[in-house]
Amino acid sequence: MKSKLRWSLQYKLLLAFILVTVLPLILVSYITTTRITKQFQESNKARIRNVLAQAIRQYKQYGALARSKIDKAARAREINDIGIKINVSGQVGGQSIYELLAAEHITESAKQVAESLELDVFSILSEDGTIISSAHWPAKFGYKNSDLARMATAHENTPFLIREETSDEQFLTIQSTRFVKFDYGPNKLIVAGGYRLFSPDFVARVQSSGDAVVLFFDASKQSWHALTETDDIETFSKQVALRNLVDQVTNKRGNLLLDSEEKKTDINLQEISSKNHNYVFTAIPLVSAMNTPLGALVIGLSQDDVYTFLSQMKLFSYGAAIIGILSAVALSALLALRVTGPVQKLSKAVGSMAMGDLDQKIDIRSHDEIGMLSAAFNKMALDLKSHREKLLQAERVAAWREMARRLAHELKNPLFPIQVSIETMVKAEHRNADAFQKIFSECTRTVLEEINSLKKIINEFSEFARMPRPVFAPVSLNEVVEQSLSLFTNQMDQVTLSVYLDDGLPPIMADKDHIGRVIKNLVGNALEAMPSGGRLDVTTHKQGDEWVLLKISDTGVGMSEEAKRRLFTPYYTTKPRGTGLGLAIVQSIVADHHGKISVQSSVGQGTTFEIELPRDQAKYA
Amino acid sequence: MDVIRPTLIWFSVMACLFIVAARLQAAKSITYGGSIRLASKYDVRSVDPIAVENPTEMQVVMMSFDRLVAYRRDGEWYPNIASDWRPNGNFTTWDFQLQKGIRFHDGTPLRAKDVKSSFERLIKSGHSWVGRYLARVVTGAKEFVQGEQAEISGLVVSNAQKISIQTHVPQPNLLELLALPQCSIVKATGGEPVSHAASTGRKAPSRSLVGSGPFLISSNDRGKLTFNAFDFYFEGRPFLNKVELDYRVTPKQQLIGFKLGKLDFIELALSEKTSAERESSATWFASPRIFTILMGINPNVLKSTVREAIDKTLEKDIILKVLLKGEGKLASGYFPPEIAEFAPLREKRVRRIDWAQKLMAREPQPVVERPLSFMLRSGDDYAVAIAQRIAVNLRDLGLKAQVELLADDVFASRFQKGKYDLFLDSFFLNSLDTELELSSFLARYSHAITAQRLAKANGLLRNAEPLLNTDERLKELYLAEKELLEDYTLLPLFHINPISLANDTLAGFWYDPLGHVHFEDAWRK
Repeated sequence: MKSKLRWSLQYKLLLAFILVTVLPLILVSYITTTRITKQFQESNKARIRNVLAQAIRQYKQYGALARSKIDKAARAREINDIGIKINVSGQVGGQSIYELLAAEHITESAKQVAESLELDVFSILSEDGTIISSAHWPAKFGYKNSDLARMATAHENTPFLIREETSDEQFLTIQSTRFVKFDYGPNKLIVAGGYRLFSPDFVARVQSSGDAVVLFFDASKQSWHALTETDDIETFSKQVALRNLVDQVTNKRGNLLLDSEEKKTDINLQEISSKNHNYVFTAIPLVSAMNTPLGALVIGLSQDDVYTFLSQMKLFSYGAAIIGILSAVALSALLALRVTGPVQKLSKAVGSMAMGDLDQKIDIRSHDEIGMLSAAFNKMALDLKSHREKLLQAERVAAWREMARRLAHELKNPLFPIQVSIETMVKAEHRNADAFQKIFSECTRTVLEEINSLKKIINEFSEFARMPRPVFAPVSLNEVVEQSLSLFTNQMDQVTLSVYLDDGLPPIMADKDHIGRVIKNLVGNALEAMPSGGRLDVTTHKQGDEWVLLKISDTGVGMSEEAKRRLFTPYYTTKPRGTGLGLAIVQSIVADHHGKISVQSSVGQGTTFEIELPRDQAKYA
Repeated sequence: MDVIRPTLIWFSVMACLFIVAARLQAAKSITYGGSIRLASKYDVRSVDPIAVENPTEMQVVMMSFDRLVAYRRDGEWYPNIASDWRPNGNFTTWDFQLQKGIRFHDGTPLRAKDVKSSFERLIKSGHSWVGRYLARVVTGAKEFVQGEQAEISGLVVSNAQKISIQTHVPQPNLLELLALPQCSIVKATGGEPVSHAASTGRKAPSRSLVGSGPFLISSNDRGKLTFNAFDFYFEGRPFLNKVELDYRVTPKQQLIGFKLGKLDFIELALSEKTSAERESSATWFASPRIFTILMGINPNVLKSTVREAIDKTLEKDIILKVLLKGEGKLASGYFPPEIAEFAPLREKRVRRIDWAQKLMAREPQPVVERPLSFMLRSGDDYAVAIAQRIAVNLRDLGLKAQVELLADDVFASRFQKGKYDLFLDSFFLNSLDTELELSSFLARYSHAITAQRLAKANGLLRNAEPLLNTDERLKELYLAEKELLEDYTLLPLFHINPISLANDTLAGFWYDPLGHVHFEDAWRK
């Protein structure tokens, strides 16, 4: 109980310290991490907004550049030459174009113009859309490109997105187109050209603003293409979320090339994880001049750096918190020990003192309340010790006096008959021999009897003084009871003996002889209390798991209250020839076995002794 | 043949008129010495006569080796090693009298046994279609090839200057065959046949291969062959001391080299003709060498109907007009009218897109899921533009083709293994004889033709061999070619004359009817 209380105080102090130190640490760590994460997410959003803005800017720049280059192309010498030829020859389109092409070296004209103006795609077409020369697909001459002709009519000088094709590939372009008129005749040409939307230059410019992964979703083929190097294209192409992002932006945004200003709407973002990488994606819809969805430019920024930083930051933050917490716990424990240490010492000293050890002194190391308390304790312990020594001394003197009185009393009793017998013999010295002989015989017998009585008294005192230390061993109480009772068989003629022994009685750790002596003493007393017969009950019981009970009841004369109070006082006896040591010895043996002895007695009703003995006296030592 | 030769004579005369006139004009100033530098887009993987394949390899052999007979500038035969020849009545025995005093490059005299050993080496090697042809017709050649006889009994050496060639089928056009580079004479100790594969190391020619031509090869290293004049050439030492040949040079690089004055004689891409015409210090020549551009279709990939549809969808006339600027003729067969008199009888194969689309409609769509691989030889300047246009035409049938430019050896390997869908190739005129030309053609393209048609064509060719009547022979050859044409695995597109550009300071060179340039009479002005 003392230990529990002591731990509890320490625990409470420790808990209090931990609460005071750890909670703020955790709180600070959590708030810092959350704030920084949010800050980074915001910053990341700003990054991708920049990349997106750069892509849209680039997209528009390409459109504007295509328009200006096509204006220049319309004034190119090669175009003028073809213009002259078609107006002079009258070969304006369809099959007649072949005659023109056969006669002139103009299949390469578009290539020459494209090279000089650095255009990725460039076509020279007749008014009806027949290709006269194509820079990107020279072999396509003579075929019609109705889309470009339609664009020239509907969207002249306005950049538009259009899918172009060569023998090997299809690709998206930003083109501009216009009619070219000539002074030499009515026949016009269409020039159309521009840039590959996803040229390395375009992609590099988009990527440069954020080291982005750039993908193209081709709406016609429903396929994904990586425009920058990435190992994750397969993973991306399987991501439903990415496809949803494309659908969202396609539904949301119009034709960016035609928008005069970038719409200030919220950007659509989608986080995607692939293998060991994390990305956040946004997308730009790609729509033809006829408002047909062509696909989407999808831009992703790697979140790896951010995630790495955040995880490192969290690791550091939580690590610092853990170290802080551990330090706080250690410091708290130290403080708690410092605070509770003196209290514990005090508590321990008080406990020892309660056990009778008055030699307790606490080192006083502080001058605070604990120090003052310790000093007061030390003074109290000294006072107690002094008082006890005085009390012990007084008790010892009283005991010796009582013993001397008792011894004197006991010794005086036989001495008187001896004195009387000797005096009688002295007086009878002068009588006749027969009378003297008779008196002498009676007196010597009396003297011898009293001397025997003195011897007995001395033996008993001697025995009491020589009381051996008990030797504990497993003992069956029932057996001891039976053996002890067997010694009284001859004295039980007028007594009805009832023995109730508990069969389930466990063995106890006891000194067999001492316990036998206790039983013999009590049974002897009981028999002496029933000189006219009566009933003697001897009972053993198991009391719980740890204790056994020995009960000896008689129906003898019983005891007065005064006799009961002084029952175990040494040398107190109610018997004419008793020493008064019997029950003192019984109490001493029971005490040596850490047992308890109690007595119920009424005058004329009888007496009952109950002795409780522990199974293992060592536990109660 | 009656028609062919006058045509060739006319062509050669017209082609060389300018040169002859110029030579006569400058005759007084002819001097020995100097060197010229030529270039070719083709690789020179072998200089062994029996292993030559491309025109440049043949040119090299023609310069360093001699043959029994050769073409004259006017297309007639002129004695080369043989001073005289005489067939028997049914053209099964040809007697050749060799010129005296002919020496090999190592100084040893050329004798009839050298001629015999050269033919035995050619026949035994089996590399060349010429060798295989001779193995089939020369008496005792079959037994010799099979190892049953130590020598060919049909090659009879009477004395050091006389040899007879005996055949078991009439060979009225044997001289055509003997004028080919493969029939060059190598010194008898010429050693084991050098396979084409074994001679691809671009090393100097084996010293064991000794010829007697006007030039001898002094080195062959890093794309450059160097010839020195052979001082003891039996027709007189060439005027030039040295001829250098840079091979595997693209026509574009050649033109740059020419303009920089580093090259004197180059092949010209048709696309550069206009530019070449503007060159003031150069003369361009249309070579009499005729080649046929043909397109191959793998019969294992595309069925006959699809192949025919492809044939009908090609805009050959437009390609010729626009891309080739009319420099050539539409091919209705594999051989030009100059050697195949029946060629004009062929139906003109022009675009019939409606028909083609109807044919395609019969086939389950798509015919092929993947783009067709359209392989070309990387050095062929004509091919890329033509193939690109054909790819455009194929789209009208819903077919996609992807052009692949391949190195010669890769092209040859894939062709042999049938690992292609489409290809474009140039077939050079090998001979002025239709039968030999068809043999050469079949030898080259047998892998690309369906087995049934090939067997029929070969059968018809065999039928033609013993026929001495020209009309009867031509009829069989006509039918043989027809079988091949109707297979639609090899579509003839155009017959083209390549163009060369020569520096104005170069004079005296001339073309023979097969298109080989002769520099033994050339000199620096």
